This record gives sequence, structure tokens and C-alpha cells, in this order.
Amino acid sequence: MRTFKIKFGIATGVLLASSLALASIADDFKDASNRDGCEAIPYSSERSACISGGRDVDDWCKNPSKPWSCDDLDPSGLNRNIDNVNGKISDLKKEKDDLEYKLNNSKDDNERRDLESKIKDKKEQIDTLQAKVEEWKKQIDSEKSMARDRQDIGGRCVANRVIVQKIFATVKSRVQSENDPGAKEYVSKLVEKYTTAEKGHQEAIDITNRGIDKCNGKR
Amino acid sequence: MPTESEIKNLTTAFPPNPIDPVAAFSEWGGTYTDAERFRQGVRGRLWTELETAFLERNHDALVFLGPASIADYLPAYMASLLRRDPELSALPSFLFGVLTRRQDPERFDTRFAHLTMTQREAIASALASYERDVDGTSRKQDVAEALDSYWRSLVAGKGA
Repeated sequence: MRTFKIKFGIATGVLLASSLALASIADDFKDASNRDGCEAIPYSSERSACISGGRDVDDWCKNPSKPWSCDDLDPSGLNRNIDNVNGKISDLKKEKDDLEYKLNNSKDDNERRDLESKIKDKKEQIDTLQAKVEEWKKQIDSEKSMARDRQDIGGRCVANRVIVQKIFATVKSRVQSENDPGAKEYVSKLVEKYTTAEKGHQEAIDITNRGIDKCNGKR
Repeated sequence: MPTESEIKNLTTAFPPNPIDPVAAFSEWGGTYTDAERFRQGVRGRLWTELETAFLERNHDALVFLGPASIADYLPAYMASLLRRDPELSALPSFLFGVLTRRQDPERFDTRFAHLTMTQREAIASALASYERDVDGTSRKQDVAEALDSYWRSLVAGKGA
């Protein structure tokens, strides 16, 4: 009699545990089907991976201290500025040389004073423009360096978006092969949810990749 | 100021109402990982009250907002773009990304299917104004592509 009680108890326990597990899968599917984001994943391990992946997307794609867009960088525009200003410097130098030639050949004190003043003015203009060119050259180096950094950040951003995208692809596949009868009624809703959002993930990746390409032309 | 006039146009075309974001991602964004945070940030607010820093941080919401909800948020993103706020970084790329009819024209058409002609014209006009504003910068190409892909005909239609 005692042996029977023990066996009955074990059998009841196993049945109870099984039914609880089945109920839990069905509940998880039901819960996931009514949620979005990582909470739309009915499996705890993938859900945790999704939350972790989402944090990495935040860190590499949306962090103000880690921008990936190079739209505000314009080293080629600065190069054009330098070319223009170098042309002006060259003209000013020529004008200064002409004034110095005149000064060397002038005997008139008034004219000499006037020429000296004009030469001084030209020198000052040349110095100001040369300082501007040096400043732009430094800025070009800085912007090229930033473009390289942002390209790297953009790459990390895309890599993390791909990780999240893959998690949902894996979950979609796993959900579709779920055999639990209680869970099955939620499969189509979950699959539709994953499927309609796939293009959004891909669009985010494509847009970021186009941004990275822009950085490539600026480094 | 052209920017203020364009934002006024947007406000007329998209009358600001308290936002109910419950279904914001129910069509296209069921797996958008920031859905809950986005909803919390917009709930009960007018689009005119959404700060650029918030929209910049949630730039990727744009690709997950479906046809029934995009109009609730699009003018806020457009206004931030027009103001050229210093917080802007990735937002313009994502905004031009969704406003450009390219690889997937069907998705573009479906995304904006619920916009009225007045709303489309307000977007088109805002883009054209921005294009003039950023002439000579690296943003010019993006906005020109978006305009050429669909919106420019609506600007021309108004005789602009």
C-alpha cells in the first residue's frame, strides 16, 4: 500500500509538472502575441538576448556621444575653401610684390609712406588668410578622423541591428515549428507580427549602411 | 522666415491632437525594440510638443510606423528637420529614407496611402524649402532624391 502511494504521488507530480509546463508555453505564446518589441518573444532565452541586443543597438545607433552620420562633415568643402583662399593669397602676394617694386623705385617721401602703408595692409590680409587656411587644414584632418570613427560606429550599429534581426528570424522559425496544442492558436498572430516588422529592421540597416557609405567618401 | 511658414503649413495640414500611441506599431512595428519607450514619450502630447532630442533618439521609429499611424508623427520629424536643430544626427537620414520612393515603391505608397493631398503638399513644400536651405551642403543630395522620387510634382502642382 505504501509503495502504491509513493508511485501515485510521483505520477501525479509528473502529470502536474507536465501540465504546468504546457500551460506555461501556451501562456507565454498568448502573452507574447499581445505585446511588441522583445516582449513579443515567447522564449525567455531569446527574449533576454533580444533585450541585450536592443541595449547594444541603443548604445551604437542612438547614443548622442557616438554619432554615425557624417552629414555634418564636409572635408571636400573645406578643401574648396582652401583652394579659393589660396588663389586670393596668391593675388595679394602679387599685389604686394608690385607695391614693393614701386617702393624701391620711389623717391617721393609721401608716395613711399603711402606705399609702405599699403604693403603693411596687404601683409596683414595675407597673414589673416594664411591663418584661416591653416585652421581649415587642421579641421580637414579632424573631420577625416571623425569620418573614420563614425564609419566604425556605423558598422557596429549595423552589426547590432543584424543581431536583433536574426534573433527575431530564429524566433519566427522556432514558433512556426511549435507543437504545443495550447500555443498553436497564437502562432499565426506571432508569425504575422514578426513578418510585417522584418522590412522595418532591414530598412533601418539599409539607411545606416548608406550613411556609412557617405562617411567612406569623407575619410 | 521660410521655416516658420513651412511649420505653420504642417500645423494646418496635420492639426495637432493629443497622441494616442497604443496602436502606433501594431501594423509594421511588432518587433521594434524601442516601441514601449516611444509610446511613453509621446502619450497624450501634441506633435508640436515633441522635442528634437526625443525624435532624434527615436529616429528609427520612422521605419516601423505603419500607414495608420505615420501621420501622427511625421510632421514632428519634418519640423525638427526644418529647424535644423543641433541635436539632429541620424534623424535626417531616416526621414529621407522613408520619404524617398526607391527600392520598394509599394511600401512607400502603402506607408503614405492615408495622407490627404493637403498633407502631401505640406510635406512636399517643406522638403522644397529645406532643399533651398541646405544648398551646397551634403544634405542637398538626400533631399533632392526624396523630392525627385515623388514629392517634387506636388510642389510644381502648386506653382512653386
